[in-house]
Amino acid sequence: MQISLRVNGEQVVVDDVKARSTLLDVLRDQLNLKGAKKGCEGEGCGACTVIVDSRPVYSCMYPALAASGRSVLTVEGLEVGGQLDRVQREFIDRWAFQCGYCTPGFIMALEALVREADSNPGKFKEVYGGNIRDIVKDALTGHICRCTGYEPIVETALLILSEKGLD
Amino acid sequence: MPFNIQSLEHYYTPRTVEEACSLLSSNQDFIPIAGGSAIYIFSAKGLLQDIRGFVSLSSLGLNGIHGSDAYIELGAMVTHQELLESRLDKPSVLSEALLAIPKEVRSVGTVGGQLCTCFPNFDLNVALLALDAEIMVTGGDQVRREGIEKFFRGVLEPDLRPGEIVTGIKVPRKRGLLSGYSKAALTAHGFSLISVGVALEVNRGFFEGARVAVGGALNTSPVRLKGVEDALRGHPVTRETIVEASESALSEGALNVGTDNKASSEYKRRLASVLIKRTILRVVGL
Ligand SMILES: Cc1cc2nc3c(=O)[nH]c(=O)nc-3n(C[C@H](O)[C@H](O)[C@H](O)COP(=O)(O)OP(=O)(O)OC[C@H]3O[C@@H](n4cnc5c(N)ncnc54)[C@H](O)[C@@H]3O)c2cc1C
Repeated sequence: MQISLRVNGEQVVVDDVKARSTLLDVLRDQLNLKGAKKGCEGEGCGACTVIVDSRPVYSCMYPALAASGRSVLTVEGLEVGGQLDRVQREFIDRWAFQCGYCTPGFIMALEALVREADSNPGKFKEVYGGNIRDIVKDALTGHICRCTGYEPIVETALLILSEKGLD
Repeated sequence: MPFNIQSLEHYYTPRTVEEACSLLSSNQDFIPIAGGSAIYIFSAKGLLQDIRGFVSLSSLGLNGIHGSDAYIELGAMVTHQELLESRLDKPSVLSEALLAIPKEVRSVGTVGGQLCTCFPNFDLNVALLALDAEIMVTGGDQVRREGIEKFFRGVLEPDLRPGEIVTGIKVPRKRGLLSGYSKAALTAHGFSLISVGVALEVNRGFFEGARVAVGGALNTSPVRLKGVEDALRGHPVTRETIVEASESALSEGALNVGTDNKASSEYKRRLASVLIKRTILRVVGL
């Protein structure tokens, strides 16, 4: 089967998508985007996280055919004109990764949260109760870092959100 | 292998409920797919080897969220995150249970998909049992309305006949309802070992209505603990009443739990009793 979707801002058509293919299969094997990783396959490690229509999803369990007509953002799509985006730069500056395997997933989850804050700051209080540390935990809890480098990741998230007047 | 559904060949996206039901009733090896997140778990566990087709429920217009004085009405395809973000005035047990689900799963998982698993360790199931939700079921023509306890026939056994799907749910609203949810799990975003949802009505210092639902690593779908409810109803809202009522969760017949690699049955019963006590004390403000 064929699907047509937006990936990192570009409209693409992918042929030969199987009923059982996942979005992760299509991204890695057919579109050669290797940023999203295959980690646990179903337990919730978060390494495969991408953004679909502004929400973070586990692409390893997202049916590829369900992505037809949608807009997908992967870690490769964050860079603009050779410039890494804010979340990526902050991850580097603050050493918020060790082996790096989980990093694209964490970055996309945080990216989704930052965009959520930008699009509707009032929502944070209404939906999540307003305590920024809890909101960050909620956004990142579906991610595992086997090097256990959680502290700098959480600190990076708190820093970026506090600059938006959320703390 | 991702999506270990080796035999899967078809993926249909019908436009009407009738069409979806007729595809399902004429093909025994087709199943509905909503968010697909639980299907993925079944598949990874080898439970879906013989499935030949998916019937996607995404284009049937089952995503309404409505509130009236009497009911909260939700389409089966409303996702956990959409419900969380909706401006409906939601009972606390509902919001707290939704927040116990990992965010990436909330983005795709649906109300109907979760209900149809009848899994005891899925949080929304427990909250909806505490809230006495009614399930709208159709085989294409008529819609029947069924209580959640009857709907939860057993784990992976919703009360659906071949070709039937859930189109939505109705959650009765009660004025002044006091409700809350607590979950104990072994990891930050793990499935619950035990979870508790309570929905209480208090009048002049007495418990007038009480629904206490328990989920977790049970051998059954989530259950109501009628012993605990009876020990609350008609009694004064005191610490003593609550402590005594929560003790009935310890009795042998109350919960059908076994010993597994994570916890013994005694431990699960004790945990249920403690969570019931704490949740009720918290929601009544003691
Ligand atoms: C990594 C991970 C972690 C999770 N952690 C939690 C957690 O902490 N707490 C929690 O509560 N849940 C958790 N879940 C479970 C998640 O909430 C459920 O998978 C989700 O609610 C199911 O909804 P879905 O729309 O994806 O269902 P699907 O997977 O699409 O469907 C589930 C089942 O229901 C059937 N079905 C779906 N919709 C209908 C319908 N309308 N009518 C008839 N049949 C239907 C399908 O055929 C299938 O058998 C987790 C899941 C994953 C993958």
